[in-house]
Amino acid sequence: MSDEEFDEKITEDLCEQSAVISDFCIDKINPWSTPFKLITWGLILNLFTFQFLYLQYVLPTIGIVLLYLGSRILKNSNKSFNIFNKLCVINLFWRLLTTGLTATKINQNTTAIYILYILSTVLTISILIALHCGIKQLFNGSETQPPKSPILFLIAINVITAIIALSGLGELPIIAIVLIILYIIAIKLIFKNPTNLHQVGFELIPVKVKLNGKFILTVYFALCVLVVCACGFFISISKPDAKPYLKQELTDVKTNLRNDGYNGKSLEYLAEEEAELLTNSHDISEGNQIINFYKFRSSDIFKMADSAYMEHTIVNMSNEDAYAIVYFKWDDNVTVWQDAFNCYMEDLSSPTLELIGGKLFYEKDGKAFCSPISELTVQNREVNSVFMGSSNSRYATGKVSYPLNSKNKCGYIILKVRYDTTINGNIIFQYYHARTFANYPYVDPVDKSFQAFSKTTRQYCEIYTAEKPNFRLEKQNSQ
Amino acid sequence: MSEDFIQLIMAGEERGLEILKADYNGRIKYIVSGILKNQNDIDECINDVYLTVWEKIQLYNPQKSSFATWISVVSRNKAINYLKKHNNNSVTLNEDIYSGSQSLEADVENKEQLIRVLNFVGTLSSADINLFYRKFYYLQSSTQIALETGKTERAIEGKLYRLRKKLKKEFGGEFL
Repeated sequence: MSDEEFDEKITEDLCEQSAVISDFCIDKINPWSTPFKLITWGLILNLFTFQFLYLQYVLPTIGIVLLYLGSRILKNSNKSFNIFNKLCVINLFWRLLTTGLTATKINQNTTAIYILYILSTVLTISILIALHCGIKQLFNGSETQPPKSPILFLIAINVITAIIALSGLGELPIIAIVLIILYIIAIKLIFKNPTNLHQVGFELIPVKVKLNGKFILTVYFALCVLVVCACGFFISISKPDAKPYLKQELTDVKTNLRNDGYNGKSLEYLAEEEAELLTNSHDISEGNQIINFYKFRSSDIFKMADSAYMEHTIVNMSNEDAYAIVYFKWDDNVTVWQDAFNCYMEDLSSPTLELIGGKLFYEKDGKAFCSPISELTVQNREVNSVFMGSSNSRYATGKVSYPLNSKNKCGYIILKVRYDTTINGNIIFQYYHARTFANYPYVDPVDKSFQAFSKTTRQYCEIYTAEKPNFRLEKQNSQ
Repeated sequence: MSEDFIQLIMAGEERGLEILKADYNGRIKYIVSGILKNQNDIDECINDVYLTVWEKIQLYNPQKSSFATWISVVSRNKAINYLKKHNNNSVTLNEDIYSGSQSLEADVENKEQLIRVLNFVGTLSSADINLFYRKFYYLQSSTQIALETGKTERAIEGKLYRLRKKLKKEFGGEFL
């Protein structure tokens, strides 16, 4: 039986006893059902803000594509729908742009975020107004009274949300609860969708489409992912400002340090002037540890990990100064995209921490290179911790990245510690290791290095005691 | 709203027909023009629908369906009869949606088969149900379905192919 004969047979069967046919084919099949279904879902997905699994980005992205797909069916129906369609196209490009910008350092710039947010809100409200006018025009054309539209309510919610967000009132729990209630009401109203568009007639001026909706959605989504990856890879990652590096034999100064007990691997990389600072030491103590950044979880089954060797060396001087050298070296098979660290001395009296220097080293294509640590600095910073509450300490921070396929990736920082009282505490080196080059939404890796309970952040810590004239690492304590 | 013009039509007042045209012309035209392609046939068929409503309004039972459903079925069956007439097919559909067209046994058999089809259709996705009714109930062309659903004709043809395959698999020779 051919397809034509088959179709005819079904059609004939459906002809008799038509009363059995559900109201589905009466209510749902009209020229307006598909575009307004797409628009309704587009609006609903734009309202969802689930803060997990990137759904706060994925759902609105799908939402704006659905809005566009709905608008392109309607665009010839009246002038407002035509404007609505054009605004939806602009919205697609705008979202692509903001998606890209969110993957860059601009995401950390409060002023830029405010401007982007205001522009996005203006665009969203314009789209809603155009849609509202389009529906109104449809009803005007048919001399039918338009029903109450949920779109005006949505416009009001957008304005209220923008005012709350820009004024900072959103941090108040009561405001957040009110907003959630408003959003639920909006979703309910949209779902009810009382537009009854079949009242306005069935005269849709259709638009022939060349590309399927699923294809557009897939391509757009892929484009967004591509933009995020490209921004992450080409813009967000700090490229090391590397210079060729010639490995040197141990100089006299370094040999003396070795004889004094400096056995750490960092010694061979220290600059000569840094090594000279360490001469005439009172004593030298060291500790080291292999730190694993597990890809899955730290169980025996999934012990796939990016491993780094970390080493602390304390060189205590005869006066009240000491030097802390933190050294790290990555396994050759590990890719270091955009890592960051922070280092501080945790104790009650907070010894003064002064940054002396720091460098990164690696080998690529058989040549050795050396580069400064990006954004290496020492600053006071307030950190909130679950156990310790809010505390203000002096932190040395910096960013670490190496070219792809580089070998012998290592680096060090050297800090000067001035202590004048009896203190006991920890010297803590917190390291954030990025698993991929994608950092979306962009968060400064240094900020990530302060995150507790994260699979991507590990802490290497050594307990020290300092009582004039001794400043020593007591025992190894790790991760 | 519908009660008013139904009462007027029942009372034989042409004003009722005018209201009916104002409210339902779009729907009737939409259904008929999906089935018939010739503009003269479309116009003639639409006039016939109004004539049927005018003559058989007493057959409309508000307890059984909405007026929109009744007029849709009348329009659709009328248009299919026009189509059959052009194709020299002598079997005509009963344009009243409530009365049986054949013997009681045939009616029962048809109804059972239809319910089976509709039950199966009910298990399909919402998009497939929409496509099923558009294609097999309203006889819309792939082009029209594509235009109204914002898809390409090729995509609609592909979906129809898969839908036919599902139906053939489900009912096989028994259905045919």
